[in-house]
Amino acid sequence: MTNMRRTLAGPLGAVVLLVVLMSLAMIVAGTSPLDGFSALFYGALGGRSQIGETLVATSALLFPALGIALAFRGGLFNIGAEGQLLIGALFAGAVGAQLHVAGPLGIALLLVLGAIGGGLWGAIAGWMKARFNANEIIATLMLNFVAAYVSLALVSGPLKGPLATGAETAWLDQAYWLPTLLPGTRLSIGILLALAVAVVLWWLFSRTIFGFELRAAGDAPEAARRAGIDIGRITWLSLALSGAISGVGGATIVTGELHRFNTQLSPGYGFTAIAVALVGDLQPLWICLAAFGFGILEAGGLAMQASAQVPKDAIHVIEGLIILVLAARRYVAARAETTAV
Amino acid sequence: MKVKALTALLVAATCALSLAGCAHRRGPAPGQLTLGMVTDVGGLGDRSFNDSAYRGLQMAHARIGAYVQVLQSRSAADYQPNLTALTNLHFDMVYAIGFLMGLDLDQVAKQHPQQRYAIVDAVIDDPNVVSITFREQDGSFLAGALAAMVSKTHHIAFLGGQDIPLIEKFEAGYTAGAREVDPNIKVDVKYAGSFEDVAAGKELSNLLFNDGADIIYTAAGKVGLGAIDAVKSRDGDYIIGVDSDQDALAPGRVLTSMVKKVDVAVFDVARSLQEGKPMHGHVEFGLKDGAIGLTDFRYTKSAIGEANLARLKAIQAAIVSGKIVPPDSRKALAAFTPVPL
Repeated sequence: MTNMRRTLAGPLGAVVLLVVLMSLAMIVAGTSPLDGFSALFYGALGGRSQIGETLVATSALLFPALGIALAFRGGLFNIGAEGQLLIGALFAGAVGAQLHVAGPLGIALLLVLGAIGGGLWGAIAGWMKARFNANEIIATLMLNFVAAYVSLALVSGPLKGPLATGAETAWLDQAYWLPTLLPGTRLSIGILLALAVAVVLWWLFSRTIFGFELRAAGDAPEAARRAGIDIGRITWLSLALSGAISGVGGATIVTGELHRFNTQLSPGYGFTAIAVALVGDLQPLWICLAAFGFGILEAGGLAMQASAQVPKDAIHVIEGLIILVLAARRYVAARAETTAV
Repeated sequence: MKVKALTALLVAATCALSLAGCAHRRGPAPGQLTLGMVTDVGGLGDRSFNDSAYRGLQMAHARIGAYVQVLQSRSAADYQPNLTALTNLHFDMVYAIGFLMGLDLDQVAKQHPQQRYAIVDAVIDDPNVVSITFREQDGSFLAGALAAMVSKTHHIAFLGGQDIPLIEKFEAGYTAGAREVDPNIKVDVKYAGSFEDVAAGKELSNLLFNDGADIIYTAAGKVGLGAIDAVKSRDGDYIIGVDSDQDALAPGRVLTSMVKKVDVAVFDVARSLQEGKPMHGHVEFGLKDGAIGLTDFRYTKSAIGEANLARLKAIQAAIVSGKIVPPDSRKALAAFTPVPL
């Protein structure tokens, strides 16, 4: 019972905090919270097209959030989902713009390339941690910048589309677009893939030896090592898998909605996803729900900006605060446990 | 407990403030014409066509009482979400500014067949899209004719941004206009490969001037600002500006500007909607509508001379009457022969 209350207190507290902070932001912007929230919810859930936009954002957040949760389970704080997502998208977009194979095969290839790109990016940080004991928070964080500039350099030069004026590849041939899930919206079947990944992770965490090893490595690394678990292997493998999931997410944005790679294709999904993973308490199925909640904020936030003049960035500031509060709470809880022992 | 008390206090304060109705929502009144606009990456403040389009919306606000809302795009990845967000708010007309948004608008317009859209500088073949283009070749023809009259070296030049069909219209019209006045004139053509690179604009125009050209017509966005910078230190040489009135950027050294009044077109589309006779399909604006033309030569009148101005007027009349048809591509230019007036 107390356990239940403890798991629920965090996310519920986060929601309350969110509502309060957003109300304040709306008041500062000169809009009454009543109007602000009605604009937000109408923009996110007011109709088929609105729900489509919300689910597009949900899908974009769900992939990196699941990746982050996987690493977190293994005791690794992966702040690099943004970069992993970007590299996955870059792989898919760069190859997708010049692909000449049959449609479905091409789509599958692009998604796999996304996983390889993101996985590679995660594995670099994992290898640095396992080999040199580099702090994975710093490593993954810094690799975000490397990813951003590498993709900018490539897409401004050799990979730039012939008609693109910004940092973009050419458009993908329509044969490589993911099928639309909800007609009349931008929502592709990518979200089904995200849900499938969530189910697989749930199974992995609760039913497999790898899941057990992951948790052991995360909760009590010293004990795990003595029990014969190869911590180094778990470290790079979990960061590589984590990155691969984010990378597939990037590839679904390219093949599902945007239909080309753009260096700015993520408005910070990889960072917001940290909040999603924490609000979802690192449980894959709760994370799906949390991603939907944050999807409402993303899509509704834009609508709110368009109709109630509350800048969408206000929402990102508030999301940042939520990450801070939840991360601090975890840290404090972890310390309390260590001192108790 | 303290935290709970604080939260309660915050919630209470928020509710109180929202009930106080701090500001009325600045939404549209019932029955008011609502116009939404998505900028391209240039954004508001580009002193070019985004600003010009926004002036058109402000005209619609002032003259026909329209409710106006703008969403700015930080990157091309924002086009689809922004267009969809305004669509979801059921604006009477959603404007997409710039040919860069063409493919994105096509996609969104097909998803929302009931929504009206307008796009500037591109032709999108959807029944719910008004495509606004300009007869840039007409204004460019006048610019070329003027350049040929004023040139002392019988050698002029054209500096384009990227070599795309839109800019080809400027190049072809300009070259033909010059030949109309001086069949043996030499016209150098260079493309900067960018619309952003100010430094390249300065370098390339110095190159063209040093090769003997004494007038350069720029159709190259910010690259043209570099050309204007270069001409400031060159007596006897001129730049012809583009899109907005750039005459004042280097008084006396900018011969004239080929102005493209996006605002006039944007306003006309809005007014047609207000009057219940909405424009549809491809609408072309040119000299006749006053949407294309040269500036009033306020710094260069004496350098040009009365006789030349009179001749220019005759050429303009011949274009409006259809006696001269300026070419809109290199192919059409090859078939162009000067028309005796």
